[in-house]
Amino acid sequence: MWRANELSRRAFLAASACVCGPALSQPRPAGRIVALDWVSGQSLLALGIVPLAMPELERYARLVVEPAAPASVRELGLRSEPNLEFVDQLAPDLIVLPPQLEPVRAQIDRIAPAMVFDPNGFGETDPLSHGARALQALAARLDAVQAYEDLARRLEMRFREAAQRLRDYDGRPLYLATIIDGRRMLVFGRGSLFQTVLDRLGIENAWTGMTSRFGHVTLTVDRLSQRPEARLLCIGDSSRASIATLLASPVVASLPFVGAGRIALIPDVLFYGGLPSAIRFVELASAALAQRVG
Amino acid sequence: MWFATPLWPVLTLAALALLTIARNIATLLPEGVGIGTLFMPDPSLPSQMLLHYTVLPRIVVALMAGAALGLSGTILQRILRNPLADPATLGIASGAYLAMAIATLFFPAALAYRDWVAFAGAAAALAAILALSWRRGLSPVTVILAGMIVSLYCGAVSAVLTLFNHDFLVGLFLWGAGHLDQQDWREAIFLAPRLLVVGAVTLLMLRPLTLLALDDAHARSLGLSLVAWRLVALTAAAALAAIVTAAVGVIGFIGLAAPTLARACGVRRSGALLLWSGVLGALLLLATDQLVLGLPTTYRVFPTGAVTALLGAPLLFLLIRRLKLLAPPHLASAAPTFRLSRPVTALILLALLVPFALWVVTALGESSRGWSLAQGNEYVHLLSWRWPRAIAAFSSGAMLALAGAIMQRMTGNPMASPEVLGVSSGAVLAVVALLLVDPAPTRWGQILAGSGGAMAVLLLMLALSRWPGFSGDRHHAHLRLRFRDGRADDGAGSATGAGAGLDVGLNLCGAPGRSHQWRASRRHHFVVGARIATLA
Repeated sequence: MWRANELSRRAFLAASACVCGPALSQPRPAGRIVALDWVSGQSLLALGIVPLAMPELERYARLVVEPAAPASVRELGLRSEPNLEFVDQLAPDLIVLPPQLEPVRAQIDRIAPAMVFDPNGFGETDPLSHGARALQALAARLDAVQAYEDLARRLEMRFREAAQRLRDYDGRPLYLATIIDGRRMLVFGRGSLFQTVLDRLGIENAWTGMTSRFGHVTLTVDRLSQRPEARLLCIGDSSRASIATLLASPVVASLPFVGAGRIALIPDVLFYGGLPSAIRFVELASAALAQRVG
Repeated sequence: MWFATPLWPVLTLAALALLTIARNIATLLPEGVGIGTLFMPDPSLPSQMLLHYTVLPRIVVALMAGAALGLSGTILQRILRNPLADPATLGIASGAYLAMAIATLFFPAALAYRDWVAFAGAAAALAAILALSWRRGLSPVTVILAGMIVSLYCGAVSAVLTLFNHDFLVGLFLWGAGHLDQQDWREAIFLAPRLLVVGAVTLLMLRPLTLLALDDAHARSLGLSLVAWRLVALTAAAALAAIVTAAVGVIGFIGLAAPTLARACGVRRSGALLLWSGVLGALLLLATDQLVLGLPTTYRVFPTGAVTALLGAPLLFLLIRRLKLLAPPHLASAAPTFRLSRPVTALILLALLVPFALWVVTALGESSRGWSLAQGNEYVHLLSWRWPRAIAAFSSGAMLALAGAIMQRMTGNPMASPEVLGVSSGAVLAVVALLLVDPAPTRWGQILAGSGGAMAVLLLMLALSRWPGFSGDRHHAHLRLRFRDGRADDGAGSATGAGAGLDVGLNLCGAPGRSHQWRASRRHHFVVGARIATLA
């Protein structure tokens, strides 16, 4: 899927260059941009553009982690209700917002030119390609096409490194899950960003059942028994805290993959957000899996 | 009379439960189940492990939790002399929920003792209710009011915590929804001894319970120490609900439906009512839970606690006409209305406060330089951000107060309040439904959906109040039709209409200003202020 989009990506770039021609010919300082959500902020930082302000910075550092926001970035309050009055005081040139803030678009438009950035493509089969296209459009608008190309190359490089690391992978199907409270877990499957990464790595997802349009499903931990031959990759620090409870469940404890230690843990990764999240996930997942297999 | 004894519904529910259990086990173990498989599963066979550690404890827990909720509801309906009281009336679940939220966010290590955290929260809620109503001798109206206050207060604090921390509270949401899934026998072992002890205490209360359902004078003349027995009965009912909430989360409706069903079948005596409510509660929850197990997995498994409400609400609609009130509600025993000696002076003083309050909420705020009072041009500029919210809060408060005043006047019910109409819940439901189909709705879409939902509930209520059996005279005070989140009061039709109409208006105007998270608390003060202004 990813490769197939290579061509249309070029075409799209050319087209957007035509449309944005005048804007591109007079480069603007890319400094005065406000991101109203994590995904926009994360993508701007990945393109080398430091936004003036972002919401919930402390939690961003905990849950999104990469790329880190420098100390100069100002706090905007909650993601669900960013402080628009404060955004107005910052007098930005551009505001990047997620589709969820569409209901307050009229107020945002009063402050500065605004654009919706939606790399997630919820409900589509290939969130990674969708994310790449969205990020490319953002880069084109911000005169950062080169940075985008570098980022896309970096992802390809990470995939090549991962393939190298996992060349001896034993072919077992993999459960991708965030353990919620030791009794229930968020399992990622069809339609998730992580699924497209697994597809690229050639690893089968052990959960083939129903998922929401966000690509995940909440299950009780005993569902792991459906594929006793599988392996489990736990994502996020909440998993670290509750994994003891998970392993104390008699059903889970009796599973062969628990006895054989086929469980790996990686730190938090945003399970949506397109390229930057994918880059972090490929790196962390392949390293953790290679360690366990090798 | 469609059934004369509770035997028929009990047998029907039992048959339904057995059939669904048989089908669910057959899906898991198509080759059949032996006694050995039930008690000593082969650890190398996942399906046997699942049967022993998830299916069986789930059945046992459902039976125990349902019975406890049925008992709890029966006791509460008797001592509160209210045919539609249930464990939620006491705010036990809200207390437990708040304690769980605080533990999850600030003391995650405490979650290893989840049952105890929830139980402590429930106990604190009960203590608050007892303290609030102690001076009025734990009279039914006072206890219900105190329960409502504690419930709303805990709910508000939980809502604030959720607003700022929803990323970390997914586990709490799942627990709160009332899932009965089990991973081992721990919850069953937690429930059994505790329920036995409280159940034994309940047996000792048979005679007092009968007398407590009478009015105060009669009960006293028969030599009953009202306060002492009310304290014991309330504590027992609350303990039952608290133990269940601690083990499996918030399960709605069973505590209300089981005793109601038993009474509708003609059971009158306290002992029989306790017995049949317990049995009916156990079977209702078990049958519902086994049906839920058979539902397909969507992105989340259906929570049994919510499904009980979905199935139970229509049942209650059917039964409500058959109900007789245990005793007429004693509005005379309600707290005498507090009257100001100089209402006009107070009103003028409050009115003078309004411009000052409006100035403070629009001028004070955090800017890039920190907290300050805006002046001059800066103030004029900021006003465009801040006034919509201030005006929205002011008018919302005034309209809510007016709606409450009309409803309390017309129903003669000191506990009537627009939020129990269920109109706001209708609006919320419609907006949530909109979000499911359109992840990025426009402001107008939200307003339209919200108004549509509110209107639909309003129309439903008006239609119901015309239905024989729902009329205001018969179920006059405090007849609550509980939905999962919202509650509906059936008051006299006209008051319902007027009050709900105002509430609909509120939902229509929404809160246009979204500028400042930190002003949420101020908005609340404003609502209270406007309420006082209108009520005085």
